[in-house]
Amino acid sequence: MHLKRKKTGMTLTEVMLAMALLASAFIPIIGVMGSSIKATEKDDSTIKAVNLCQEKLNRALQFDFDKMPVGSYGGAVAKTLQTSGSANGIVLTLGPEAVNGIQFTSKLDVTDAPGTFLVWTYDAFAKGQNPADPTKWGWVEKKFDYANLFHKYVLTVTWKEKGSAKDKFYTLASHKAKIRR
Amino acid sequence: MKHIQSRHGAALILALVFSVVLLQMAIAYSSMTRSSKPQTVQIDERVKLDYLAHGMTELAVLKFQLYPADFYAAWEAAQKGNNTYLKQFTVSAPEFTIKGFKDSVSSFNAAPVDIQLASMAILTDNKWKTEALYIQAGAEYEDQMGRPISKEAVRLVSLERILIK
Repeated sequence: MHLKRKKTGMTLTEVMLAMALLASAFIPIIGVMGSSIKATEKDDSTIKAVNLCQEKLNRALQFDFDKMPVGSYGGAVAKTLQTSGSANGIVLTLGPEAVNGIQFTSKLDVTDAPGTFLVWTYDAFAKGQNPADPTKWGWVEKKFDYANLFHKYVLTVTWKEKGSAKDKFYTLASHKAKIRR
Repeated sequence: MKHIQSRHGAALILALVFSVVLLQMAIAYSSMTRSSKPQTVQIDERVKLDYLAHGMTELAVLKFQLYPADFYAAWEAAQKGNNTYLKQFTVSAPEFTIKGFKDSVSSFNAAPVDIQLASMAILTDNKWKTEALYIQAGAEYEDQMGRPISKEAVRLVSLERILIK
């Protein structure tokens, strides 16, 4: 009877082997979890950079066309721009700044985006003569340059991620024209 | 005795089955995270394309403000059944197409973007006697999986026609 009871139980070797097997099965799971946590941390700093970039570009685009001339603003040297006049003016700060413990650097590059408008101009007299037939309105193709009337805004945010020596960057771009608002 | 013998190695078999299930879960989770698009890329796509499409509407407003008479004539021609001149002023004009724009990149997404004016039309409201210029522009790029991702921006500009004597 004593011998029988001994045989029904699990031996220490069996239990140890089973535990070793389970432990080895957990290793890849722990690995996946670890990489997920790292990815979430990376995502967090990137989302902060996207938000920062968006906020600064929004502010930059609110400035009048002539108040934001072609040039580079911010980067290593901090720069604050403010719309003159009202007390509730827009303030745009560029350069190094810390957000929730992460050091970000923002830079705005405003460049001219010249181009040529292709305009089909009509003849008012010819139109008056043949109002029903648009093909007889004396259409002529003309080209007009729009240099210094259309600017490209490129806002770049750079930062360093934990455990990474390389700089990360995020850039948003848009255009603004010299139009009556 | 036979019954006793069958219980030998039960812990090992159970552990083996359990670890196979765990491994399968790990593989499934890993492939899921690999195939799903990261949240940052989704946010980036939405923001980046929106700004670029909006920038194109600025150019359309500029052209309209510089050459309103020619736009109105082209619009009138379109109302009379000939939309050639309106297309040439708006969507077919070369300045309203930017291919492979590369200035809106990041360390995780450097795909070039195509920007295009999609529509420019006059909206009228006879009841309130108001007129507005409707401008629609789009930006599109291919994501890392080769899928086209696009975003459109719409802009309404209130119009007022003044007769200069």
